Amino acid sequence: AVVLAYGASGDRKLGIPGENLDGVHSAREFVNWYNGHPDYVEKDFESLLTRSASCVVIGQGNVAIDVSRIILSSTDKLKTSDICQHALDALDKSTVSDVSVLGRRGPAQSAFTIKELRELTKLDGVACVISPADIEKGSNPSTLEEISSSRPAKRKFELMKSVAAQEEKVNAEEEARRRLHIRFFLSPVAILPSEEGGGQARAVECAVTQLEGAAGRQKAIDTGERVIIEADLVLTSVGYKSYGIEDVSFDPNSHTVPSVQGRVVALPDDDDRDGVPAATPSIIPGLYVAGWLKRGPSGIIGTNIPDAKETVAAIREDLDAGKLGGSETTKMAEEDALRLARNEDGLLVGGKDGCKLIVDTKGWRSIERVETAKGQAIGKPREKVVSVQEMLQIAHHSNE
Amino acid sequence: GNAPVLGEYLDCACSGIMACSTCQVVVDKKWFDIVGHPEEAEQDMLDLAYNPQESSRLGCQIVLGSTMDGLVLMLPKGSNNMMDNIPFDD
Repeated sequence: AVVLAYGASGDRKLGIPGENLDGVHSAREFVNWYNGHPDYVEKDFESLLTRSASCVVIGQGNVAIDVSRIILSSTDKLKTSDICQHALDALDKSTVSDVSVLGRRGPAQSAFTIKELRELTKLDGVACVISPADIEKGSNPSTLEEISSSRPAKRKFELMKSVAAQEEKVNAEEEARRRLHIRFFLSPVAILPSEEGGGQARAVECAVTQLEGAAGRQKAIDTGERVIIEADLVLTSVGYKSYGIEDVSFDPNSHTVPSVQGRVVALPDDDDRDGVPAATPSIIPGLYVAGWLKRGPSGIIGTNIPDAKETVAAIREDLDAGKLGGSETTKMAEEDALRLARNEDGLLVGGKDGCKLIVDTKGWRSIERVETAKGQAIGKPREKVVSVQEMLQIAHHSNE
Repeated sequence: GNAPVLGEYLDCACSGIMACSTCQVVVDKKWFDIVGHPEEAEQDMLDLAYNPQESSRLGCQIVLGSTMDGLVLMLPKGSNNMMDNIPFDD
């Protein structure tokens, strides 16, 4: 059996003009940069952070909150975490003092969870701002109905109300704190370039929206009004997206691998037998899918556990029924991807042509030891190795 | 201290640091005051749990003590009861 569980490594696009301007990136790229993903550590976020006064984050999920928190946190607090040193150095020099996190709908429809929001309200040296007008507008009948039936939604809304109640006091502050604005009813329609025509982002133009629809199904409707928010750095955080792989059915609309109870099935278009569309989807024997690739990229540990259980139950059932082994998929796996051997240097290799270097648990622990030691030297839990070359070097050449 | 924590006997995805909700239990109402009520941070995580109840707690935050001898808990459907897998001599 082969289980596809590779999640969602792409970004949903806004599909608006200016999305490719200098200074516009996905939040995921920024997270990968400060977390040390080898493919993203070279991205020049330092220049953006040191030439920008304000940042706009588009989207209101936990990722949007995360990047806002990292940009506004004092590096004093961050430097005892395992955030990468190159990011810490860049953030030390950052001139960003204002971050706006924009959502299309109202406060109650935001996707971030209360724990993350609460952390933002307690950040040292940062004032969190929510406008009472947004709370007012976001307290329409459908929303009140949504909140009344959900304890989490109610608690989160109450927290946002209490932040909004402080708005006047915060605005009157003499002390210059960094600002985090959580703004609602704003749907980006374009990212505007600087007048100099240098291809740099300078502002986000938004449509002002209002909520319409029944509880649980409210949509953001364009009121026709427009608002322009200045920003030199724009981070888009509107969801992840999975990629398909060769020879595996992939739904281009939902960006998921089609399945029934965890068993991968053929797409309807590829599923006709003698020109007649199949009545029920054809199961691809031996191939399974789990997690975000199966359901789409939303949900947390708690949602992924039952998902995994469903897929495992299907594998178990098929195993017991003698349906595994001998299938095309299993044969392919046995012949290509999983054959492991030692090359002439004694290193574990695998893959189609036997050339891919494999890192086993022992190798991983060597890398972990190096990271932990490097971190301890500077008061961090670990200092991550950010180059694949270096990782392979450590994994394969440690003395034990 | 070294007092045992209830979470050690339950499914736990985040190694007991209150960063998930897999160890949710529903404390029997008669025991809720003895066990103690969840503080704000724990309530935030309980918001994400499967169908949280008024007397829900996270197992990783309940330190077991002698006052809890006979404690009655309910596990949400879908939770693994690790006690089923411990080979006690009956």
